[in-house]
Amino acid sequence: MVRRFPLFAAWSDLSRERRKEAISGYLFISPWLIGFIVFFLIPIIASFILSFTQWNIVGTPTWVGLDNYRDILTTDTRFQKAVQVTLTYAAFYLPLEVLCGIGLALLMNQKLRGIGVFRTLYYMPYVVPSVAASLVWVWMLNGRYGVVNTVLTWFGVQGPNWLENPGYILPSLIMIALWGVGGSSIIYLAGLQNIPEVMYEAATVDGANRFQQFFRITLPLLSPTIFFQLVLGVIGVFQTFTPAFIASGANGGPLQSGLFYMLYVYNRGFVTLRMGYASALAWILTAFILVITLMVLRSSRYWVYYETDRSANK
Amino acid sequence: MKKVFVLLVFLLVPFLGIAAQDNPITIVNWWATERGRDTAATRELHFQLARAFEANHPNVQVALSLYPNRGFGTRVLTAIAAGEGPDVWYQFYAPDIAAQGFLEDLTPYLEASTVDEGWFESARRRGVYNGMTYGVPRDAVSGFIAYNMDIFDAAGLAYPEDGWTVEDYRATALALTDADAEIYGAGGIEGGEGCMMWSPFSFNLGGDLTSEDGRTVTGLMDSAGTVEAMRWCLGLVTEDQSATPGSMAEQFGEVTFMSGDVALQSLSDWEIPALTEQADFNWGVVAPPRFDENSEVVPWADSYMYYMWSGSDSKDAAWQLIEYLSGPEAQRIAAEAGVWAPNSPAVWEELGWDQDPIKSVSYNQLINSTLVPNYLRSQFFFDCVYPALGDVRTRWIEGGERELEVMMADATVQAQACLDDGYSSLPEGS
Amino acid sequence: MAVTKSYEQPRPAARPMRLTPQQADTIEKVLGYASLIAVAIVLVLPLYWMLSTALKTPEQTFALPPEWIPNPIQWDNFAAVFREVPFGRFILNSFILVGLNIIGELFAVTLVAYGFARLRFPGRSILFLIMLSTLMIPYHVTLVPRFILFSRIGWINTYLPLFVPAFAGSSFLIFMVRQYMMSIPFDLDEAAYIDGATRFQTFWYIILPLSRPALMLVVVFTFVGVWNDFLQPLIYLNDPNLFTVSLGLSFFQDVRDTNWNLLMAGSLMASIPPLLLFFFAQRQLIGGISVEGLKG
Repeated sequence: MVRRFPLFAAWSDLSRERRKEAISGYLFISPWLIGFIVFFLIPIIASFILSFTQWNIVGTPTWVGLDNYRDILTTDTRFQKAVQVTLTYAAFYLPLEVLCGIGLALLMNQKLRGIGVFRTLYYMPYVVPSVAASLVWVWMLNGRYGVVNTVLTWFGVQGPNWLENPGYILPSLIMIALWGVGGSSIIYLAGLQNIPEVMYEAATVDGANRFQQFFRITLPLLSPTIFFQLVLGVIGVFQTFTPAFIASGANGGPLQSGLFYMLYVYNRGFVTLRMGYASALAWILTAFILVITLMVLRSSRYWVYYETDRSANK
Repeated sequence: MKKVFVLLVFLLVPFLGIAAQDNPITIVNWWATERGRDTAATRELHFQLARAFEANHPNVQVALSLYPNRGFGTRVLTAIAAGEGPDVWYQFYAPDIAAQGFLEDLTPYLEASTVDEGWFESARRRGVYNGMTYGVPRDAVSGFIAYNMDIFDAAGLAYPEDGWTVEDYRATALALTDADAEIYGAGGIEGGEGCMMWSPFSFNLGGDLTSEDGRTVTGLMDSAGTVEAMRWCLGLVTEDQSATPGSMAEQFGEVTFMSGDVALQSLSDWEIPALTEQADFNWGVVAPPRFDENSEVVPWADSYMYYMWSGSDSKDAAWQLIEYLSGPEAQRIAAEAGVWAPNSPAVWEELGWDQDPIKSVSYNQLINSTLVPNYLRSQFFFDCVYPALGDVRTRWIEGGERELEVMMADATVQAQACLDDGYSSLPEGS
Repeated sequence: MAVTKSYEQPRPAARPMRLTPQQADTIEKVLGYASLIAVAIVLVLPLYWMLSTALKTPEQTFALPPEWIPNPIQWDNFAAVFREVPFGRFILNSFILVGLNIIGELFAVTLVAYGFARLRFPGRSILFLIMLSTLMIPYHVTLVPRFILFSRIGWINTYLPLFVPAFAGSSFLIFMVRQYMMSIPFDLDEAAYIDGATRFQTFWYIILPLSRPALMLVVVFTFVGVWNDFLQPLIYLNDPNLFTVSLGLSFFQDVRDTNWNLLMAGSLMASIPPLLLFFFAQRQLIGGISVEGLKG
């Protein structure tokens, strides 16, 4: 059933009946609309204005023009560090997340007895509260008493002081995040299960081996899911806060190697009460995320395979 | 009036509520508790003092909250930002909060009061920043070296004595270290950046970090003296391996001396209650070592301070509380409970602590203290200097770098730029 | 594209088969289970370590090399957590907040999703697009101004900032439920209108009951989201008696950062409610995700 509506159709064009429907429509969406204005639109405008001021929340904000932006982009070494840390993390974590997510989903998609138990086990870490998850990993990664290094010694490897060594903080945080990869695997699994069995059967008849099937059927048909996960992942990565806060502290740990962008925003905003500066930092990040997201969206046409393409090719 | 705060108490003391009678003024008082220092007795003392104060001031009630020390400053700041700040709180550091204009200048109150007359000079001076008195001392402590007699006895070594030098300290620590038996000569803090900040070594290693006004590190932090001082501190960890490894703090906190496996550690009166209560070995204390044969020991002294929020609705009552807590009666109660060292020499003498074999070590340091710890000299210290020095430590210990002059020069440039940026961002005249 | 290519170029099954199909099947099964079990061990190890540490004495906690099985089992650690911090309060507080948020989300999400899914009004598409775009904007842009807003109206150190926004509905959940409602045949509404039902009656008696699976997801997602939230309670709450479980845990870490056995006991207790919820809701959860996952 098609119920299309011209954008902003003139109110007068509407029939009496349609007007009544429209009024109910507005009433139904009013909770969101009011919330959007109060909790989103007004704060976001306020944040934009604040980003041109210097303000410690008490007293009146001082208008400083573009000073905050200039300082951030030119002299702020901690901003540079935060960007570097967050981008490095994203560059390693996002591909690993897709890889492990699909890998786990493939494992979970096997037709074996008791597979349900494994699915449950794999998903479990995802629902552990991130504070608790971070805490247990901090304990496991302890250089002296940690179980990770104990396991490593079985293989003759002397493990590092994970969270005290600047070179190992990001790998630690990636490990912590990957522990919860079951969350996205479930979505990949759903994607896998939506691939019609007949396609594999046909491919088998045609003599395609497992690898060919994976790369020519599974991956293309999974690409919309990968795309969806990637978009969510990008936004999620830049919002990483809790594990970094718990594992490396509000200042980002040794050499600020765990200084995630969000941690830095929190620092500026709530530790040193530089509200204007923090707002500017938040806006820079937002602009950046929008650009990245748009790039991912744009790129999607080159690698995301949609059902309509298939029908067009037939 | 201020929103009524529920009196809340956590940890060992059960939830208490005080029914409001005659609308008394409620003073919200926040206390930072610190592991390795505070014991059950400390917590009990908080309430004992509050009750004693209320008995003297029937119109004022004290609502107490205890918070962990970590993140305490942030908690106070966000509460202030929300207009919900505590009327009174204490911690060891607040120049940053003072500089934001969030702390009441207590100078007029002190001028009208006699409470400060008997204080140690070091304790009085500690609360002064940018010409304002923003804090009043809860106590007065100084740094010294604690030693584990059992370890010395087992090794057949004589206990350290007054007049020793930092090289003696280092040699003793090295001699007593027995890695196989997991016996360490020195406590962990000496191997960290704390060595140059909050330890009796601060001023006895031939270098300092910041100028007295806190605005300059160039020429100080990168001076040959400070580089060597830092080399001494870090060498305990890496070259000598006499300092306890960082991971040991996982079990014992900063005071690894408590483990009984550490021969020497710099401590202060703050750690004495926990040590007295928990140590299951024989220990003694000795004055800190001096730089060399030709120099005198430069004492390091410190205090926790009481602060008043400039936005408080009941400043007079808040001042009464502060005045009471820093005055002789409360000081005596705290000292007799064995918790805090009094902020005035008179109380020490009254209790005979100036003659006590352990306490007198501290007393002699306190009366001779002249320098303000470097972290109190700038509101940007923890933002700029501390992380820069922490970076040096990380690069040395975790990264294995040994170009200390270069690293200290890097750190100095970084810290100075940060300080300059901080001070230049201030409005004119502050 | 790629798929069609493999149809166009069929290749003969040329590889010689040495194994009988049954043998191949067995090997495949063994390999399958082996890999499943290996991965399961890695993923369950942290949970096991949490449990094992939670049951150790302080000496065992710091034993070298680490001991895998606690001996003796120190059940008292769980009680100790409640003695050290008001952990019972933390749990209760979290449940209160979870409850309020679920009520809020259910209220707003159903109404708004219905409005977007089944009613026509000028500006609907653009408003829907705006709603979707808020998903793309990270929440931290609004973090500072929201804090300022809430502090100005005296909401700091109360639960209001932590549940009132739920009554506006989360964009993600609205989107999800709207997609679900779109899949319900429109003939049902038409029939109801013909019978004289109002729009609200149609919503209440027809669409809402049919949307139950999607609403289950709203409940689960809200529960997990609120239970696990850390940053917002961190910013808005000062009074330890108001702390949620996640914030309380980090608070506990500040108080007792060397008592790993107690910290792990607390972590374990904090993890149990979401884990239980997941066990009971996993059918809906996984089913629901498979519906929603592809629609993204």
